[in-house]
Amino acid sequence: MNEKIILGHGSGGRMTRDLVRDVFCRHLGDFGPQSMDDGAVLPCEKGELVFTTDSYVVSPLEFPGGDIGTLAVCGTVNDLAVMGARPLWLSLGVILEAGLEIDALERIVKSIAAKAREAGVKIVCGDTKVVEKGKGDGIFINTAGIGVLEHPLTPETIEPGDQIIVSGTVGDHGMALLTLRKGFPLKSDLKSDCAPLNGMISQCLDEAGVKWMRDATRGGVATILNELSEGRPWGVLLEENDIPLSDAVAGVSELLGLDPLYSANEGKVIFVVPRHQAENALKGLKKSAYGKKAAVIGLIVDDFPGKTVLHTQMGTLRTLGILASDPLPRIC
Amino acid sequence: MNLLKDFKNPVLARKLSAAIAETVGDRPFSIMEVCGGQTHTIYKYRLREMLPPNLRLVSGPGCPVCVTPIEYIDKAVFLALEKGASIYTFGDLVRVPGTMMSLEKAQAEGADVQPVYSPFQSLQAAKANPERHVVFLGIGFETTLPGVGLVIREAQRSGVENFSVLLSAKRVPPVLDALLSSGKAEIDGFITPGHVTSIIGTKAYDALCETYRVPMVVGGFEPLDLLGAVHLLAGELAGGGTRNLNAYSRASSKEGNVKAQQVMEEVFEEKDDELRGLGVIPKAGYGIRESFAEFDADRRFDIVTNSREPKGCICGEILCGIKAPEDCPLFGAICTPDAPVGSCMVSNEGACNAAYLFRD
Repeated sequence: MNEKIILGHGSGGRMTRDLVRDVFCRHLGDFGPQSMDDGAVLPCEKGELVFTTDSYVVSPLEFPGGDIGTLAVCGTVNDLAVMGARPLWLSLGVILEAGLEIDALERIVKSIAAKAREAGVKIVCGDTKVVEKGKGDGIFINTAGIGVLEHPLTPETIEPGDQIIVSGTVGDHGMALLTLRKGFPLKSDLKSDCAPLNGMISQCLDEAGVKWMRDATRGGVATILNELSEGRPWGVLLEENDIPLSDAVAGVSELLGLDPLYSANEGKVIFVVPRHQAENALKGLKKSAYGKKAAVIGLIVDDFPGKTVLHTQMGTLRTLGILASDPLPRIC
Repeated sequence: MNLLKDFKNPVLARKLSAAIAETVGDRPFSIMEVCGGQTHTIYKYRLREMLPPNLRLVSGPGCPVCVTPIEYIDKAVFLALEKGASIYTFGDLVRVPGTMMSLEKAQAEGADVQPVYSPFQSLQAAKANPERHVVFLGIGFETTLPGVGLVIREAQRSGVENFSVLLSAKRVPPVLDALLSSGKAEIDGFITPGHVTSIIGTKAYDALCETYRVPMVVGGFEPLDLLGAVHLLAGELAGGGTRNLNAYSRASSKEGNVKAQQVMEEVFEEKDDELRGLGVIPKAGYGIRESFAEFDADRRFDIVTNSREPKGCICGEILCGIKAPEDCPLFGAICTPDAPVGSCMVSNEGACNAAYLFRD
């Protein structure tokens, strides 16, 4: 039988120390904490820092395209990168539920190590707690991240004519997770798009005058663009036919009556760039494996101030609002 | 054929749109799309803009969540909180407000509420958790009912004792009959619901067309399905025809799904039933037959409710096609998908939800 997490692993005693050493430090290696001190001592650079934090709860813990560890690194790295920062350091706080298989935890820590290496960030400090069985969902993770601001965004310079770019197909993560829920009656080859995007973003920043960018996570592309357009003297006009969508996502969405524009992404960024630099931006994005399907999907317009509007494939115009809560699949 | 794209072809849509305008000319007509899924497509793709202004589309009563009486939600909440039953339900239902609370709020009070995609998941859960009683919320029109019937039959065959269904199943033809005989909504023609018809067959509407001298056309759920249905109806309306036609022949036939009908016949029996906002309609619902009584949550449990409709909500008139969502004083102000007052605002298939979601 596989070894499992028990309450003793959170006691602070030898079991905790062994777990940290044998599971966390062993796999994180050079990208993990280099001492058992209470805090990390970090070099101070000139300029400004960006600091962010995010907590990760997901079911199932492992899914095609990643696991909760992949999410915990990529999500925080991407939050820093879309602020225009170069991500440097992450903290790693884990809350483990008694009964979690240590093998599963090891796989998750290996994912964390692999993504930290890919993103070029170090996990400089961490914490482990254990809760009773039934009081957690296997594992909860919090990562905080620090980066150096290199490319401050200038949303105030956005003007009609600017182009809206998405770095690839939309809705993959949300739809993939939905089809993995317990008892979901469909099999699909959907995969989460979870990826660290700081490399891709820096290549795009080098090529094009990015005015604004955001990763289109919870709420999807439509929600993020609503947040951009809200209260502005201009609007966002999207061209439905130009939005990259995999056949699998399109099919599952139709079947369940869900809109992929509101489905979560974990590896997609929306950019606003000046019209004359859109081609450069696309070229820059396509250098990265994560930006091969990047496309211009719309533009900033004088019409519809404050709103995000979709020019549908039927040729009609539809306002994309903000959803109250998670969309519910329909009965029939 | 690409099912995702071809039924949204803008060139064909424009052709149909022009043909419809030419067929109806200047005369005013009102067409009711019966199913909430059709309403959703009409709003989502703004199909009204593709129709002449004298051709009015009116949303009908075919939204399962919307026509489910508030007492039903109260019963489900009671079973979950007072009887400790595990409630398995289609997702749409969890946010519908009951008199005291929705199932989503009951969940926060400790109720076990599980959204599922198929009734079979609830039976599996009952088998896997013999110490719990599992109640499946069997709501819907004829589309969803055969699946519920199969699960009840399977539960009996496999001798599962900790499983029951709280049933609120409705029948489309008697509801249309009641609408037509009341004369309240002035409807010239109907787009009948594609998925319901794939089960019951187009023959189920023959008598209605004949009795009330009104044309009906089965419609699907893609933009071109619906424009095609409107086009056929327009032809009938312009020529004074009252035929019962089919614009969704890829899924619906005259006889319907005979096997599904047999399952329904075996497990359920017709009964007079209440639809929210429409009152009690003769033969408009199904009950579980005596031979399957042990799987009827209503018979099995002593359920106590004290239900009251929310004040000011005009869901009933909206479901009858008498009023539009925007006519309701609560719409968008007090009643939104965040804090719905009536069921028409909750479900993806509700007219108020579609009107709010796709508003300008």
